[in-house]
Amino acid sequence: MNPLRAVRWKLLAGLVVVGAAASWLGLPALLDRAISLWAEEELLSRASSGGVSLSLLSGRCTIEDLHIPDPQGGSEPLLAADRLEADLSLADLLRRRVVVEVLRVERPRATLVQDEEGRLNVEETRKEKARREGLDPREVARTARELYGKVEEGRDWVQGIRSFLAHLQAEERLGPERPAGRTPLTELGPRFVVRKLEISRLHVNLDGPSGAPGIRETAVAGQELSSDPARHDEHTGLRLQGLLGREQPAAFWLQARLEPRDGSLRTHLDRAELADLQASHLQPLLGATLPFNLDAGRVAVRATDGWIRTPDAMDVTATILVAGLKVSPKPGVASLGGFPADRLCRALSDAGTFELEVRLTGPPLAPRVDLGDFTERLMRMGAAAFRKEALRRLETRLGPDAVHLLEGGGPAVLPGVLTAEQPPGDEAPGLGKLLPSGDTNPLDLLRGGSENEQEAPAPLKLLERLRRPAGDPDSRPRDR
Amino acid sequence: MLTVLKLLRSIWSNLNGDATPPACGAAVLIGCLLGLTPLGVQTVLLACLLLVFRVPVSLALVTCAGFKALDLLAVHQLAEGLGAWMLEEGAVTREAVVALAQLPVVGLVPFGTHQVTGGVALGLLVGLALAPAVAVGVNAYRRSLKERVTASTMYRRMEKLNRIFGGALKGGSFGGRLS
Repeated sequence: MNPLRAVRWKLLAGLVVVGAAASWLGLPALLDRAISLWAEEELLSRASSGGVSLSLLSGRCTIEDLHIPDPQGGSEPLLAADRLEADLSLADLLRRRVVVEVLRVERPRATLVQDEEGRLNVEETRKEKARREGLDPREVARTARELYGKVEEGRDWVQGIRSFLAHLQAEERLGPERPAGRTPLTELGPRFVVRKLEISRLHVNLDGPSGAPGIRETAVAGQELSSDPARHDEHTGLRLQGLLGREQPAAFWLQARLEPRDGSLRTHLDRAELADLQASHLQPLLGATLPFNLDAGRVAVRATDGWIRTPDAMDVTATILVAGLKVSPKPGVASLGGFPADRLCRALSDAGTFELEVRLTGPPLAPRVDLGDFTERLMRMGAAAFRKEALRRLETRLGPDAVHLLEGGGPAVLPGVLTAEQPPGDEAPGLGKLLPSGDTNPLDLLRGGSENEQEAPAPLKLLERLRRPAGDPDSRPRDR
Repeated sequence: MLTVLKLLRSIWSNLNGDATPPACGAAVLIGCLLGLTPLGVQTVLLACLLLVFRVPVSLALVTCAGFKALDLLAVHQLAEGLGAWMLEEGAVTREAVVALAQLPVVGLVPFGTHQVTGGVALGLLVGLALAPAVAVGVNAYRRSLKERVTASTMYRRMEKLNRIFGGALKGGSFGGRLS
C-alpha cells in the first residue's frame, strides 16, 4: 500500500474517532448550553436541569428536571418539567432540520402571575426583551392597542391574556426584518417539526387577583406540530383533555386541527366541550354582552363547529347550558326591557336552568358576541314570570276564580246561566240569556240586580264582590 | 513564508511526481469551491473531500488562496448576485438548489444564503472549466517539458535546498508528504 495513502487514512480515522468522542462527551453539554441560551434570550431567565443526555446513534435526547425560574422574582418557576424525551430523526438532522419523531413531556408546569393592574409576568418579560432588542416599548404598546384596543386596561385573566397576545403580535410586526442576502427555501418545509407529541399531567397555574382557572392534570396529544405550519404539508392536530380550575374543577375536552389556507393558518374546532364550569368564570367572556352579572351556576359548553384565524377572524358557535343559575343586575341598571331589573333577574334565577346559543365572530382578541334570540327569550321569560307573579298575587287577594276570570274563563263565574257546555261557534249569549226569566229589563239587571239575587246575581254586583278583599264572606259568589 | 515555500515545493513535486492529471484537476476544482464560498459548513465538507479523495492538497490550497483573494476583492458581489438570481428568479436553478438541499450531509450547507449558493455555482463553473485545462496542462508538461526541467541547473539547486529544509525523502524527488 502506498505509505502516503496510509497516512491519509490514519488521519481520517483519527478525525472520526475524535469526532465520535467529542459528540459523546460534548453534545449533551452543547444541548444544555443551547437550552440555557434560549432561556436567557427569550425568557430572560437562567435554565437549569438535572441532566441532559444525547445519543446520536439512537437519536434519543433526554432532559431531566428542567427548571426555569420566574424572571420577575416569583416563587413558582415560570416553566418546569420532570422529564423531556425526544426521538430525533438523524437523516433530517443532516438536512439542517430538527424533526422529532416523538416528544414526550412528563408533568410540565407553567405559572403565569397577574399583578394588581392585570399585567402578566410573561408580558413584562417580553417588554424587557423588546427593550433590549431596541424596540421602543411605547411603539409596541401603541401597535398592540391598535390590534386589540384594550391593552393595559384589563384586570381579569381573559383580558390579561389578550393583552399579552396583542403584545406578541405587535413585537412580531415591529421586529427586525429578515436579514438581507437570504431567501428561505420554503419547499423544504419548516426547520422544526414534531411528528407526535405526548404530554402528561400538564399544569398551568394562573395566580392573581382575578381568580382565573388554571389547567390541571391535562393530557395533550398532538401530531405534525411545526415551527411554520403554513409550510407544513401535513395538518397539525391537537387534542387536550383535563381539568380547569382548582376548587371545583371543570372537565374539558378540546380537539382541533390547523390548516393552512390562502397563505394563513386556520384552526378548526372539531370538538370543544366543558362540563361543570362555574358560571362566574364566564363573566370575563360574556360579561360585556349579557345584561346582568353571572353570580353562580354550573355551566356546560359545547362547540361542535367553528374556526379561528389569528389574528383577524373567528367564527365559533357554542351552546351553553346553565343549571342552578343566579344572576344579579349590573350596577346602575334599573330596568331591562321595560321590566324592573332586579325582579327580572330574580325570575331568571328562579327559573334555574336555561340554554343559550352564543356565536363569536370577529378578531379573536376582541370577538363580537352574538347571543342570538336570548334577549327576546329573556324578555318573554321575564314577562311570563311577571304574569305568573301578578296572577299569584291576585289569587292571594281575590281567590282562584278571579284568576280564572282574568284568564278568559269568564262565563264559568256565572253559575246556572252560562256554563262550560256552551257550544263554540254559537251566538254569544246575550244579556237576555242571563235572565232567569224573560221579563226583566237587562239594564235593570246591570244597575241593580235581579229579583232573585240569590240565584242569579247581577254582573255588576258580582264584580263588586270581586273587588272586596279575600276573606270577606261577601267576596265569593255563592254557588248554587 | 516557510509554509508558502513548502506549498510551492509540494506543487512542484506533484507536477513532476505521481499525482495523476485528473487528480490535479479535481484539486483545482475543490480549491475553486473553497475559495469562492464563505466560511461555514461547506468549508468543512470540502475539506473532508480533500482528505477522502487522493488529490494534491497543496494544489487545492494554493488554488483556494488565489480565488479567496479574488473573492475578497470583487467576486463576492458577483457570487451574491448570482445566488439571489438563482433562488429568486430562476425556477430551474431554484429546483436544483432545493434538490441539493434535500440530500443528507449536502443539506447541511445553508443554500438559502445568496453568497453560499452563488459561490458554489461560481466555483463549479470556474472549477469545471479549469480542471480539464489543468489536467491537460499537466499531461502536456510531463510529456514535453519535464525532462528538460528536471535536468536543469535550477532544479538541482532546489533539490539541494530541499535536503536542507525538508530532509531526504524516499523516492528521489522532493515534495510534500500529502502529495
